[in-house]
Amino acid sequence: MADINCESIRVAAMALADGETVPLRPEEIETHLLICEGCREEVEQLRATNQLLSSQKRLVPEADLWALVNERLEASALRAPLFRWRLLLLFAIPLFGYKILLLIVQASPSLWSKLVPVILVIAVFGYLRVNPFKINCELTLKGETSS
Amino acid sequence: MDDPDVIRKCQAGSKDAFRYLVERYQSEAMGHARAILFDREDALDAVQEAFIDAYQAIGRFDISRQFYPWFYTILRNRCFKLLAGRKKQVLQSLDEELILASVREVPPEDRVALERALQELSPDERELVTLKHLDGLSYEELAERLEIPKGTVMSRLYHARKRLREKLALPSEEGKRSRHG
Repeated sequence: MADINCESIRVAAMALADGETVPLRPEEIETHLLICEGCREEVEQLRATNQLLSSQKRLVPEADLWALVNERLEASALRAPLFRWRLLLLFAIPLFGYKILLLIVQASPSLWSKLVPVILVIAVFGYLRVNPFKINCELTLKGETSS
Repeated sequence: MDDPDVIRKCQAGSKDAFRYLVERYQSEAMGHARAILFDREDALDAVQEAFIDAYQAIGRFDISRQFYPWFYTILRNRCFKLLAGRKKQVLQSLDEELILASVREVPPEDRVALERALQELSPDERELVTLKHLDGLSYEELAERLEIPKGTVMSRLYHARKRLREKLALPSEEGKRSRHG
């Protein structure tokens, strides 16, 4: 419990050093730091690390990315019509299939009763994403360990 | 030209306006990507991908917001995606500066030691520490930028700095070798 208390004091002390508002009162933190040597040492070391960090500057690398970005944008623009064709095909193929089915059924009405169950089974397994004919090679006998 | 005007033009389909945004923010973005990835080539790749994502999403951008914080979210997603694809962390040799610039007041060996210690932090910790100390973001801004609560920023920052201090106190074997050899 004491550790949790110490840690919350340390976290709050560092946030306070960053100029942030903390859930503890500043006097409460200072009093704890006066009586707890472990916390005092830790906070002093962290403040020194802060100072070292704050004396640094971020490197801002020279960059000229437009040519590369533009090249990729143009490549993706070229791919875009293909994507639209795919979208069109997504609608066109089922419609075409439906039309073919209608033609078949009109030519021979008895076929309808044979086709419907097949379509239903395909639809169900397609929806469940399970292949009922797949052979599971990973099945092992009880007590047998797989290598 | 200010950002909202430029973004409006981008939203209307102007590529020149987008070029302006790329040229304006590319260096800053490279600096941030390097801080997360600690790799020059990966950073270059992540920034390019992020700009392409931004171009594709700019139509949905809310003009009342600032561009860079929005772009930063895209960039860090790209960076962390790249990191997830990495098999293991690659330790770069520190022949060149990756995150910290040379400052006259700071001895080069201190900068190298700090850069080495930063390298040994996790990407999240490195991101947090550098955003706080090199960009001077407040906890509020950090919380917004990283999409985490302010209390989480406070504790993560404490732990990241603690780890950094430990790394500074105990230089890695490679660091020791480079100093003695």
